[in-house]
Amino acid sequence: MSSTRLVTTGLLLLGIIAAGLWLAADRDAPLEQALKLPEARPLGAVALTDMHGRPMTAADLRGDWHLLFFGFANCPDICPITLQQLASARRQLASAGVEPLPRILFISVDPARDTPEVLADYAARFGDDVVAATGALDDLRELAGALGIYFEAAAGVGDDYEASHSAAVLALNPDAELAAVVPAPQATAALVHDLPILTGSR
Amino acid sequence: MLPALLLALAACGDDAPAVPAVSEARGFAALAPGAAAVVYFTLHNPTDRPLAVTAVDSPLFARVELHETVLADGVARMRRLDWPVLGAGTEFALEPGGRHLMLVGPHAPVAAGTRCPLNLHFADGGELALTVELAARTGTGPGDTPP
Repeated sequence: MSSTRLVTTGLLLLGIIAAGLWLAADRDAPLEQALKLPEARPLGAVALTDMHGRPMTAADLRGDWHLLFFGFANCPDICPITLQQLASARRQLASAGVEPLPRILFISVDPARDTPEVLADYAARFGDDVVAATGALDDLRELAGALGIYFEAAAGVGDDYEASHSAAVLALNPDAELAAVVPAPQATAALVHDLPILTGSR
Repeated sequence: MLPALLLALAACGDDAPAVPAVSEARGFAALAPGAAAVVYFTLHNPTDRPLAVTAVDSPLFARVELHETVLADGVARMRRLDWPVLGAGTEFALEPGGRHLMLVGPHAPVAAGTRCPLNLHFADGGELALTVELAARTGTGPGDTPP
């Protein structure tokens, strides 16, 4: 009788330990695609202009997670595809009740063509929680440098030119620090898997 | 039964000579004023001869170019490609995140939903006309994205 109780207690304990291990493992669940920085990196000075024509600084990025992507509105393929993926991932997380939800931040490296008006129209196509901004090339370069990513200012003739840019998605934490990088090509399913782990909501 | 089937197959082969064809054509309107629209499709060459594309044009745009998004070391670049030569019995696929047609220089603003005519010209003098609806890119739309 007492040996039965012992076994039951032992099994219960094992169960509790296993559950604890499982929870711990889940909190540190392996990321499918995102690469978490060992230590979040501050952005330094942020001097951008948002899609409403207002100045955007690091202070405006505090308080929420942001998924940051560099691109430009004339980019027909990879930029809208990535924004569609980010919007789709965010929508899937929202319907799963995941909190906090990241905001999507599109930074244009083509300030000559991407006026606030163009950016406002562009961002609105992908959803209410997409913010777009741009800035002077020197300020964009400084931000890109702090983030450890690359872009090349648009070059070409007249209206017919293109820019090359890092295709990585950067995750900024609510302290406006670079917390993780999702290298390209991103998979929507991997974003859905990784984002709650990064934001600590699972 | 079997002879009838074989006869039907043979007849089918005679009635439908293998000609170049396009499948899975889809496109998206530009996201900024005056910007390029994008079109994806797969071009099939079921003939027994090579099929050389010499040009693609559209009455709605100044020109149509073949581009490829190239990801190298995390950086996305677009590069322009030559028109392809398809070997006999092969196909050539354009796909989001890879090769795509750029419809450059709209003669007038091209709104989402526009049905855009395209003409493919081949070296043997042949042509292939198709119409592609340029859809709106949205966060909830058809989601024409890689997995």
